[in-house]
Amino acid sequence: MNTHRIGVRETASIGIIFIIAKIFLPFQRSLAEIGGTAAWIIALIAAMLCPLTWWSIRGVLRHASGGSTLIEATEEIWGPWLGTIWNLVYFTFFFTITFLVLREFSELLASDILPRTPMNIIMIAMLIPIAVVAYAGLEAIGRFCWSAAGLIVASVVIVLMGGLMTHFEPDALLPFWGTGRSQVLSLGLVKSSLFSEMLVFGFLLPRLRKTSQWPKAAWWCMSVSAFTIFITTFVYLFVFPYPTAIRLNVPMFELSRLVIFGRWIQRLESVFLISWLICAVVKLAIGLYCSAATLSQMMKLPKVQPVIFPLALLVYACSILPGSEMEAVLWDGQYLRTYGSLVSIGIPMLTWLLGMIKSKLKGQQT
Amino acid sequence: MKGWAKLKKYVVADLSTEPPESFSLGNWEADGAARAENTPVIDALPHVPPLLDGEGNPLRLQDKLEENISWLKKHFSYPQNSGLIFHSISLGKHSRPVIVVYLDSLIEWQHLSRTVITPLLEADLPDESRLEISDMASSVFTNGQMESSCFMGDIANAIVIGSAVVIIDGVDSAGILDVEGMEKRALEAPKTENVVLGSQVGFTEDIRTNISLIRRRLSTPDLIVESGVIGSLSRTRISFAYLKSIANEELVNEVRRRIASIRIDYIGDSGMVEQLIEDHPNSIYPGILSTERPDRVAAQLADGFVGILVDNSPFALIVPAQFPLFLQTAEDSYLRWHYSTFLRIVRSVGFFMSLYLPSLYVAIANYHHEMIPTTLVLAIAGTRESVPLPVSAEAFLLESMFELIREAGVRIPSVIGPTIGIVGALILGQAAVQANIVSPIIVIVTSATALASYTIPNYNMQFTTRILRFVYLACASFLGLVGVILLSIMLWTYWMAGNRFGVPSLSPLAPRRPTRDTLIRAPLQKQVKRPISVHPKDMNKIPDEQNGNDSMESGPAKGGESS
Repeated sequence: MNTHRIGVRETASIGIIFIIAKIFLPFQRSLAEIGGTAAWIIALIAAMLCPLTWWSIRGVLRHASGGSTLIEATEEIWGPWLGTIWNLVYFTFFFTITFLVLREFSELLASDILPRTPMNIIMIAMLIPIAVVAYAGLEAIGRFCWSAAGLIVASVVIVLMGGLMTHFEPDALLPFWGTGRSQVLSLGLVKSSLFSEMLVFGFLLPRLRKTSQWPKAAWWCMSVSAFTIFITTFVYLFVFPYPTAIRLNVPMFELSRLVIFGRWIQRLESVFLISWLICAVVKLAIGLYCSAATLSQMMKLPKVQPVIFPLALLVYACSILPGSEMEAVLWDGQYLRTYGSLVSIGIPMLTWLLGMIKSKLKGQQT
Repeated sequence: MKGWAKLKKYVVADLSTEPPESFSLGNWEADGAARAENTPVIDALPHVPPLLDGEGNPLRLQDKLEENISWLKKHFSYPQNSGLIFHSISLGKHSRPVIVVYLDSLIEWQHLSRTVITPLLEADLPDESRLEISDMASSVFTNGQMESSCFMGDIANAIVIGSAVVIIDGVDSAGILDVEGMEKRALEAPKTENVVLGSQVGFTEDIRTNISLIRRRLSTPDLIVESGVIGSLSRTRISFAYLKSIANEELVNEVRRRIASIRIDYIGDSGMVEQLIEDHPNSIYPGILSTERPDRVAAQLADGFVGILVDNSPFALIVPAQFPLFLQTAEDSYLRWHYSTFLRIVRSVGFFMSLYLPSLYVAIANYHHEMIPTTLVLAIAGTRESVPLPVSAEAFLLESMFELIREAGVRIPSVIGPTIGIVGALILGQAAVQANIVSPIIVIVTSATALASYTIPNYNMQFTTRILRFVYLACASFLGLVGVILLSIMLWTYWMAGNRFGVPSLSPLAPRRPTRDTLIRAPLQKQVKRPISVHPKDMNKIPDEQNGNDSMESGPAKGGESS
């Protein structure tokens, strides 16, 4: 396998971009639909639960032989048959993220940025850099993420500030519990899958030089991404009242359209397009890389690269399965963001438990 | 089957488990240490291989002078090959036959006469029967430096590089005296790296002069200059210089290994060496910094880099070279930090303008009109009203015209060069606007791009931006800003993924390494560390007085392994 090392900054940046890219999709609207004016509470609860994924991944990696990725560790703990089944679930998860997000972003570009360009052309145009970046490997992705992270975070901050300065309603967050306290709280638990992308740490952590660097990278990633997801939902609801919030197609795009800093600095959505597109491509490249890495490790291939281009073709084929953008968003919300935490928290937790039991039994035998 | 072998790599997945042959300086790769152990260490640069006899032994000088002369005549195809001189002299009281052999075009007559011919004619040897050539160095050839050799290979090689060979009848070794006297260009200001403040001396085509220019700037015994010969026909002299107590040994070994592995018949310039030792020959981004400034080389050597000099080339190579180095100049260190930081920002803006400006204009004008303020978009539309060409065609047309003018400006005789510049840039541009072929705004964009490209201090990096500009233009024409961004992501990731002499191409920007000398140049007092990206043995640039490590004689005494 490719054993290039990456640093803490690069690891955290990969995690952050992989998680927060969804803020440029209709994610805030989906939350507003289910939580009403309390959508931000759902994001907050989900953020509070995200350390569970980190702890369980760390637990799994600690109970496997040194340098193992999440995939190798799962197989080592569960054995070849059950391990492969769980790994197939991981693969499906990463693969589904990749093709759904490709479809959603392509639809966004086709509808708002390049309305006269066929969507297939946009999808293929995006798929080529995605495959090239994934082919370059995790080390290159990490370097690129670190370079782009500042730009992305800065653009988000400018959009939020610009949106708030242009228009906001103090009463927009009322009623406090939105669609109802019990529903908001239970949906908060379910939507912990907003942070399911934390699973990428299963591939990143073994690439760090020291085990002591693991928590630093993970906590940085969780803090920045949790804050970003929370604040974008919060500001979105502040700027667009509930009746509008559940109707906008791409919340951040609409927010950026509001930005007016004087006569010369306005209608900046195309400028923000730079950071959005970078974010989307990097997220998709990470998703494709993780899918390829999972598959190659399951098949015991020594390299990830041979799987990248065939998988990229499959991603394209699957991304045209949803009949429309709304169907893709529906699949994302109803399946990926509802059952995602079973994959990102449930399976690693189970594996961690089994690993602990096995270690204890081994200790008693010796 | 040959076709299949070429096609195979695209059809069948390469699942070989062998590690890639990349070199990694420091610990960028986990298995770097293991790979370093497997890499053969080469002690010295290659030299001219010896001539062998039928049994495979080095061919030796014969006792009889006639035999040696006839061998040399045969070896140099004399008299068909003009220029070889056999100068006969009788030595001492017993008129012992001596022959001085040299190539007349390579030697200096006065030097030859003073150091070889006159001393031989005036030699007073006490015991001619037991004559040893090595003794004559201190008794006869006192005006010059003499080496001796008994191998014909060495003798033949000495003749072709401008030495005079003294062969005495009955003596089993020959004296080799350096009387080289080729015409040399005087020291001049650099042609491509002019500065306002700082030294106005550039390298010349003579490698010895170039080495002396570096030695003058680094007067320390730590400065090591290793020399050898490359090119089976050209036998070009090549040297690489480094500071023993600072440069990373792995890097030095790698430079030596790559130079030693060059297999080519002719080396005409350091540019050829650059292409033969670089990591990614197919990459559009340069991986080695070429400079004609001795002060630049000396400054980089002091930071732990390695400099490569090639005979007949006024350009030295600096390795490893990362992206920030290509936007820096020697002058940066001579200016106060505020000024040099400002200049670096200007150059960086120039670099990005040179790459992106025409494509951004095309993308915005074609696809994203909403980004332009209404009054400006109306002004642009007004100027384009009578232009029949689409924006992208205009941009391609003018950029191509500018490239034509640029190339013509380099090739045409210098006397009419400025005239062509004025004709091309002003008259053509003005005429094109008046004829409604292009709009005035695209002329402004192209001119600004051209000016921006000249702010890039490195000639090779200028080429990169010139070529990529067209690719970005094509993407902007098809997909607007989306195309430009997608291509940028691909190219920048590809650039970041690669290593140059074991160091990431964009280090210390990505991966990030703490440094005070990239875009912002800190005050010299605060630049206490050498760049970590080249893993110097001694990180401290300013001697650590607390540890008593401030001796000037020993140079940087605090040596250590690379981290």
